[in-house]
Parts: sequence; C-alpha cells; structure tokens
Amino acid sequence: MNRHTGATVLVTGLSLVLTGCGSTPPNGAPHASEAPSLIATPTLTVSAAEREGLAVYRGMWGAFVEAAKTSDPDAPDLRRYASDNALKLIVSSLYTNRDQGKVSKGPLVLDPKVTELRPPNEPSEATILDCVDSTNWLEYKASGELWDDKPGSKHRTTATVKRVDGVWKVSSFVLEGPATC
Amino acid sequence: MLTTYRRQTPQRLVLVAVLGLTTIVAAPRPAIAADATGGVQCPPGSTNPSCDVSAETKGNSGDTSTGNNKGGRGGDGKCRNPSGAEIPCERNGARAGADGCYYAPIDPSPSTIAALGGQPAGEGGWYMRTCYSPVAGGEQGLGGLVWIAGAPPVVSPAVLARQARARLDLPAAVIKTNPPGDQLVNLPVWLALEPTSWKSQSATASVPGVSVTATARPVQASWSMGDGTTVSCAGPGTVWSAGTDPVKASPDCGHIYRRSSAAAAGGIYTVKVTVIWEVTWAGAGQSGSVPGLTTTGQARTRVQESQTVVS
Repeated sequence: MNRHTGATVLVTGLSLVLTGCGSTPPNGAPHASEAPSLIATPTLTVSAAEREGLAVYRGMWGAFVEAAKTSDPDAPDLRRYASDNALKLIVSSLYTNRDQGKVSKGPLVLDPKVTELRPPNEPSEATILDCVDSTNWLEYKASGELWDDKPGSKHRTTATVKRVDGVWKVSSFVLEGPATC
Repeated sequence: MLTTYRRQTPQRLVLVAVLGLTTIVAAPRPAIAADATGGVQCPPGSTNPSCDVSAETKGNSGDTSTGNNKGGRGGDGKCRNPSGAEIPCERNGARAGADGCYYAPIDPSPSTIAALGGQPAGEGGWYMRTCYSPVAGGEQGLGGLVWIAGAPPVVSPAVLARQARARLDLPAAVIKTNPPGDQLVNLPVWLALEPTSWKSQSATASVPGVSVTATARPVQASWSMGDGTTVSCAGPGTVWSAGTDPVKASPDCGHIYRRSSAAAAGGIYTVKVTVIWEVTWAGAGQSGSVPGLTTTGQARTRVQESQTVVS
C-alpha cells in the first residue's frame, strides 16, 4: 500500500462504518480508530482494495441518501465517491426528483460483498454485489407526505469500483427492480 | 417531359432515438418506482431514460433524423406516439416529442453538467425527458436529463414549418394531352393533368416537444400554350375521354388554337404547365403559411389546320 491509498482509507473511513480489520497508514501516524497494524503483503493489498472498494461503495450510497434528503444533484460528496455512469445516474435522478418536487428519506440498508478483484495481485478494480434494501428509504412530497403508497423493496445491485490516480470511486452500478434479492 | 420543383436539402434534425421506444414496448418487467431507488434503477432493458444518459449525451450516434417518424403532432393537430396512438400534446409543462416522450428545456448547473459527462460541443440543449409507460394500476413516468444536439434549444414551430416544407416531395406535373395526338385549329383542347400530379402532400419536421406538419395543396395550374396564350385553371382539368363530341369544350380547363404550329420552331408548340402549391402548416398549437411551391411539366403538340371535323 502506498501513502496515497492509505490516505484514502482515512478519508473514506471518516464517514463510514467499516467492519473487519483496519490498517495503519504506512507513515505510522497514530489514529484513534485504527486496528493493530499488519505487515504489508500482497494479501494485505488485496484486502485493502476490498476494504476500500466497499468503503467508497458505502460512501456513495451515504452521499446519495444525504443528497436525496433535499434532492441536491450538486452535492460535493457524490463526486468524492462516484464517477462516470454511477455519478450520471445519481445526479440525473436527483435532478429529476428536484424537478418533480420529490425528496427521499429513511434508512437504506446495504450488505455489499466484493465478488471480484482485478488484477488479482494489485487490484485496481472491484466488482461488488449487494442487496440494496430500500424498504424504508422512500419518496416524499415537499409537504412531508409520502409520494405514493407503493412499498419499498430490495434490489439486487452490481457495482464496479475503480481506482483511478490512486483514488477509488464507484464508476457504475446496476440496480435491478424490486424484490430481486 | 421535364419536371422541376424547388426543394431544399432537408436539415438533419436530432431526436432521441426511437430505439428507446421499442424498448418500452418490449420491456417485460414493469420497473415500479416503489422506493427512492426508482430514479437509479437500471434493470436489463430498463425504460428509465437516466439509464441512457451516456448514450444520449453522445448525441450523434446513428441516424437520428426524423424523416420517417410517425410520432409527434400531425396535421390534424393531434399528438401521437410512434405507434400512432393519440397522446396529450402537453404533460406537466413538457411537450410531446415524436418518440412519445415529453420534453421540457432545463438549465442544469455546471456541476450537474460536469457529472453528466460535460457540456457537449456544438449546438443543442438540455432537456428533462419524461417517458410514461403503463404499469399495474396506472402509469409510470420516468424522467431523465438528456442533451439534444443539433437543433437549437428552443425550436419555434415556424422554423420547423420551413423544415417540413423543405421535406415536401411534390409529384411531377404530368400533362394528359387531349384528345391524344395532333390537335386541330378551332377545335377545343382539353387541358388536364394526371390525377397524381394534383394531390395534397404533407411532411413533418420534429424536435423533441415540437412537431410541425406542412401541407402543400395545389391551387392553380397555369398553362402556357405555346401560341402566346396563357390559360389559368383552378383545378387539374378534365381528362378527355374517347367518344366525347370533339366540338365540346372542356368543362373546366381548355383552350382553342387559332393558328397552326407550322410556323413555330420545329413545327410544334411546347405546352408548359406550372402548378402552384399553397403551403400551410400546423403544429404545437399554432398554424400558418409559408411560401408556396411550384411544379412544372411540359409537352409538345402539333396543331394542324383543318377545315373538317375529324374524330
């Protein structure tokens, strides 16, 4: 792991709840929430990539949920975690919702897993499979009423996370219809 | 026979690919926007326009001209989707496009534009595109931002009317000589055009949200008889039929040669006809007229002296 990716872990770690082992930045700077350090091996690189991939994936949804409270397509955090098609899709959705006078509220439950890392030794791309549970993340009118009486659901979701210039971002995701997981 | 008519090169109009519509019709899975993920659902074959954002912003993939689209607003003032079903011309302030979706011009922020892949080069505009599709118990409208390249952001129906006019494909003016063969002085000549030469024609030009149909209607045939006289008729004339009394004049469009064509160049008269077309347009709740068009045709006829009636 180089210094740059270590810094990314810190940045993303701030707004995310991460499970599993943390890593100490290579410069050894103390950090309250850090787990005991591990030796840098290829295995660590892979697990770090997995962790960072999941972190930005969760970060993207966190930013989306936050931005969706006001349907703000220009929320800066979205751009920290998402790029390319993932960002287009979210920004377009938020813009459209704002246009329609719609906001989204409620908890969103994620359960992502990395299903593939590429290339295996020093991954710069990860595929994440998730079952996005938006049973209670619902659309509301500006007046506070629910937008419609349709129930929330769970959606099978596949995402691609990429490291570009040392920064991991979700580059695309496919969120399928209701009750697909 | 020579036929000419003025025609402009049709301008290419850019429209959202009708392909998307095919998907709507074919999509087996009703993507119900049940929760807040509705705007980002992109299952295979999704009808969500947002799922096409990347494709839309390319703007120039494939032939997106509207030459043969069937949707939009027709000459009857009704808006139709590509399957020909009548749809409202306006929904929530957005106008029906020829693909059956609704378009409203929008002005996204630079940050939004950057997220969508940046401002495409060239002329065009950002639109909120909403496509409605039937779902269990009603209808679902899915919105998305699209860049429409080529056409100016706001197209006035009058501009489209000129484009529709340029697309009109008017038929040749084909002269029916009557009676067939050589003509005789002092006997009536029946002037007539082939029925196909005198038939109203329509053409449509569309951009998302605006569709205009131009209709050309033949209003006058102006005949130059070759002997220095000109005859104007308000119709295509009546075709002479065998058995008609040769001394009987055409009921609506005719001429009688008083001199033979012997002295004319080549011993024949060249008969030229110019059909004048009035062009009107209708669409987007407006209507009007644009400059007319003409078609021409010509035929050559020999006129002989004769003292006796030959049938």
